[in-house]
Amino acid sequence: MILPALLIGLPFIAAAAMALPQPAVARRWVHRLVNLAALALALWLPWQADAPDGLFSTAPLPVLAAILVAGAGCMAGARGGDARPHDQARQGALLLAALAEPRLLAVMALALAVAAALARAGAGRWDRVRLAGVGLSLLLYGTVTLPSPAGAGCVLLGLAALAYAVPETLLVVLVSAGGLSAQTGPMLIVIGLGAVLICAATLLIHPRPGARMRLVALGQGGAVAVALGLHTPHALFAGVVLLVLLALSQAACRLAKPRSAAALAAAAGLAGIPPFGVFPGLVLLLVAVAESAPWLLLPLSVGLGGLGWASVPRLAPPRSSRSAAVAGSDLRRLSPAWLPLLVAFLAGFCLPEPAVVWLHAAAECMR
Amino acid sequence: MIAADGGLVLALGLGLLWPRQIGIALGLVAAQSGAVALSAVIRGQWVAAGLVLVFGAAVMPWLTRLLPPRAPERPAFGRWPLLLLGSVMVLLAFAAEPDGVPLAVLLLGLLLVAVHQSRPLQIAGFMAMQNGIALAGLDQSGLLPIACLLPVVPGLVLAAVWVRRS
Repeated sequence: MILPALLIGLPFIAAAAMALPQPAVARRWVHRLVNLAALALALWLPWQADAPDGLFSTAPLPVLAAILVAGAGCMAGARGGDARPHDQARQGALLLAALAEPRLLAVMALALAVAAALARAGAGRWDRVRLAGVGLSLLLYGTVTLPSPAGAGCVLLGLAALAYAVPETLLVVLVSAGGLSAQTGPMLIVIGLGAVLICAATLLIHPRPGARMRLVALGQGGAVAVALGLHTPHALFAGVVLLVLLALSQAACRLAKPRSAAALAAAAGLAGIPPFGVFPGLVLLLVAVAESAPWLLLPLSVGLGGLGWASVPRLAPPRSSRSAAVAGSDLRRLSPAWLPLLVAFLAGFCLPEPAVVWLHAAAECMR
Repeated sequence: MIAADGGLVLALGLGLLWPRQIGIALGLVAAQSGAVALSAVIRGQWVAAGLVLVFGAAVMPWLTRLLPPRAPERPAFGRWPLLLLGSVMVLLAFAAEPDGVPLAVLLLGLLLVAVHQSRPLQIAGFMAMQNGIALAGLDQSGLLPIACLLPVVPGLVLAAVWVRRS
């Protein structure tokens, strides 16, 4: 009880502290230190043997979500830039959404996270606000009427809308969808496959460099949804591994400077091109699909192939001699983006046995 | 009696598809909230009825009314096609659930949000969706109904409009 409460409360306290007038440097350091402390607390959670208290859960799946959220926040904080109280408020709300035991509390926390993310963006894009509102309404309605199939469908559609409108919520949204996979398997497969194919088609037909990595991440999120929707033990494990690798690859993409070697490796990893990134998770997913639903292999492979192909322009070497020199110097300089890429490589190819057992337990939580 | 008040909420939801004037739409949403409050009273949930009346019929319409008028409304559909689309949504809701009134009200609100360009009318759509959620919550026990009666989403969207303006 104390550890989850501390983990959730810390970012909110930090947000209040950061709201006080202070130099930007001090605010940035508070942001970084609190993110590191939150990650340490989240990593401590699996060893927590508290009895369930009805408010927070310490089951493997919510804990995995909390670790991913804390890790993503830590990576975003390490990137530098202007740190604002909104960032910590969003982080605290996402951690609460991940760990809250009552469903309604989790939805309210997600609403708070959306509000903080939109406030950070200045609520400047009305379409995002509108889509997030629709997603939250559907999610709330579905949560209220959940055992019914229509309620479960509303939850999934709401989560999909939220993941598109506010990408910061993607990890929590995917874990929440995984918790519902027993009731909504086929719908999850349809939504996931649709996301993979639509993202790939959008990237290939109407490429917009600014939105490319966001669409690739969303497409890979669709692949996670397909894995969770299949609901076999192998597919669920593949989904959990893919989720972890996706979080690490996204973190690397955010950390890397544009047109640097680390950015190229992170983009390739996110698109599913080996050795870094989501590639091992995709292999596990395709094996699980071949075992249980081979008819899905063709559309899924086409979609994933499209995502990879659409990322190729991003992997092209810089054109001007000046940017080539920058990229060359970056090869010699160590970027922080290499850390999540290295962790993703180790997690994908040589994960230690206790971690595999724990990830299996997280996957088993969804059954 | 419960079926009759559900029907009133649904009829007001369909009626919301007709007006283009913000004042009339907000009045209809407030009346719909009143009908939801009536449902709560019939079920003996007095606190829920009070919350819906205060927030749904008074505070939120008043706050939305404070928004300054913008460009004239040009919705994506005419009135009759919109009503036809709304009727299809109601049929879909009743096909999906035995008591499809809350889902139908939610989908009609969603339609309003999707087709209108004017922000106050879109907020009216969010308030209609909230009425559907509140109606669904009345059948639940515990803290759930109280929590889902608060206008979290319309409040968030309204706050976004004010933040954007300021």
